[in-house]
Amino acid sequence: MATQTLTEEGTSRYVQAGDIRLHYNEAGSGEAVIMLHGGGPGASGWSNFRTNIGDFSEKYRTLLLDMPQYGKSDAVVIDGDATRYNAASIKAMFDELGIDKAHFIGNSFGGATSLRFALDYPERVGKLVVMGPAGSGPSYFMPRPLEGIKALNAWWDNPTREQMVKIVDLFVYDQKFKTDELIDLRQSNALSHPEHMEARKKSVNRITPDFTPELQNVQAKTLVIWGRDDRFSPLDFALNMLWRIPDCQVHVFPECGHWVQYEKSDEFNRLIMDFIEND
Amino acid sequence: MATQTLTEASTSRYADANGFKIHYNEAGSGDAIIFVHGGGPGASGWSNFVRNIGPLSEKYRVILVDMPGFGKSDPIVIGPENDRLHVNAKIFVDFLDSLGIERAHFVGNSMGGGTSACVAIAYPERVDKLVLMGAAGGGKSLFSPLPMEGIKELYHVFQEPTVESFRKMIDLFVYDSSFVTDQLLEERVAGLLEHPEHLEGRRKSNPVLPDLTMELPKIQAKTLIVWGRDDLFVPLDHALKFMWQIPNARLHIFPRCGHWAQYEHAAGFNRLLAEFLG
Repeated sequence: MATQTLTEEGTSRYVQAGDIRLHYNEAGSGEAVIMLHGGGPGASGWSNFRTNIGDFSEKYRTLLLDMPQYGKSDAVVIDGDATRYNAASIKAMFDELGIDKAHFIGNSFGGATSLRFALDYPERVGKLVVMGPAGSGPSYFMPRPLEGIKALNAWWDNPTREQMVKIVDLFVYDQKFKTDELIDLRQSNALSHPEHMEARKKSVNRITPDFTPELQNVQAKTLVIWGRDDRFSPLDFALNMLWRIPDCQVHVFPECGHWVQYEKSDEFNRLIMDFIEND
Repeated sequence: MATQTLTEASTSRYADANGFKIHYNEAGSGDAIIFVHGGGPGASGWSNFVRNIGPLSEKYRVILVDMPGFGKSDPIVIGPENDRLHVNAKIFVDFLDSLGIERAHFVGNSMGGGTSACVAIAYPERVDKLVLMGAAGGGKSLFSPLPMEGIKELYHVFQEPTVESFRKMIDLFVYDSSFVTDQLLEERVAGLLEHPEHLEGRRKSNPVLPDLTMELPKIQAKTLIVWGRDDLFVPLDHALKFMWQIPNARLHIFPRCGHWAQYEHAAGFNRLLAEFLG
């Protein structure tokens, strides 16, 4: 299996994207697929998608991006709509790397960034896949913020390991995924970059917008993936996208939380590769 | 391609399900998949799953059943003390016995979905994996007044089986009705009139389908729920109800798709099914 030979170090790359230096992991060749992680503390391309890069890199040039303010990418203060800033940075990254077009796979905040990118640079997007994306605006059924988002916010206020345990507990449905290894990875990732925490604190006007009125303008063929038991992003946003994005399929996994790509990685990889190749 | 060589006539078979004659079409070998069609007028195993039997029979033993009271199977009258889904489920188990099949995947559309769910509830040991498309049996909708527009037209066709009434129903059935030709309509109506005993049986039968909501948690089979976004016969919120009530149920929704996902999105549906059945 390719997964066993790929390491974070072996795939680690940097690129200057406009005014920011971005870190990413890359493996494989072929059409480009970029994976965008969520906004939780300690998130990075590698930590979010390490169980996916192996399968994908057998067929695609697979890029796991550390988003601005995360991982080994630069710390920047973001004023206003963070998805807009991130999308522009990714566009600059593509220009620099000579990537004309990529399939997007975005989780949570990375899903919202993928939507922004698809709206702003439609000619640069192949297929669009979002998992439990942010940017839904109000839920029809669940008071916001959801339980999981509250736990994230509590960690930014008081970044203890104990709070990280709570976050991971809410992230996954199957508690077998709540391992010390994962908790420690997230916690050390988050704490090893105090400059990110600092930049985040200064980004007081940072917002994630409500994409609802713009969804009808998404031109990419879209696959929306959700974990049935997601406690961070409300499931009814999947239906919102189903009805507004012109060509949008929805797939919901049972017994699965906010990290579909991790909890259901094999099925997730096959579902998306089928979507990219055939639909 | 196997699809091109399979015909209704060459795959046509009969079974004696404990005294009840069941017609079915069969192709391929391997694990058995029982396809169960919907309750629309003139429906049959072949007409509902003609776009699925070819690709899937390359890997599975595909069995398209004409439900009791449909196609070339025996007519049936469902009495007021019974409901069609549970009566069907019992006959399906007799049918499996007659073929010596202990356990099969069930793939059911609409009324056939409700029937398949009933088999999984009442005879869990006979069902391997379960696939429900726009399944009946969800009870009340949280959002849509029932019966839905399409179901009203469906009843109308049973009362007045003409090409015109059939066209109205088919227009609601699918998202894109451009493939519905006059010839197809005439064939379907001719097929319907060929079996006056089925029309008669349907008119005399208890029309009420049971609400399976509280029984769904008993389903042990791994389940895939498939829905067309634009279904006008069974409301989309039933997909969510099935997803939450059945312990292990994944959901896939196709856009630009009515009540016939397996027909309108045949290629995507076939791949989804093959992936799910493994």
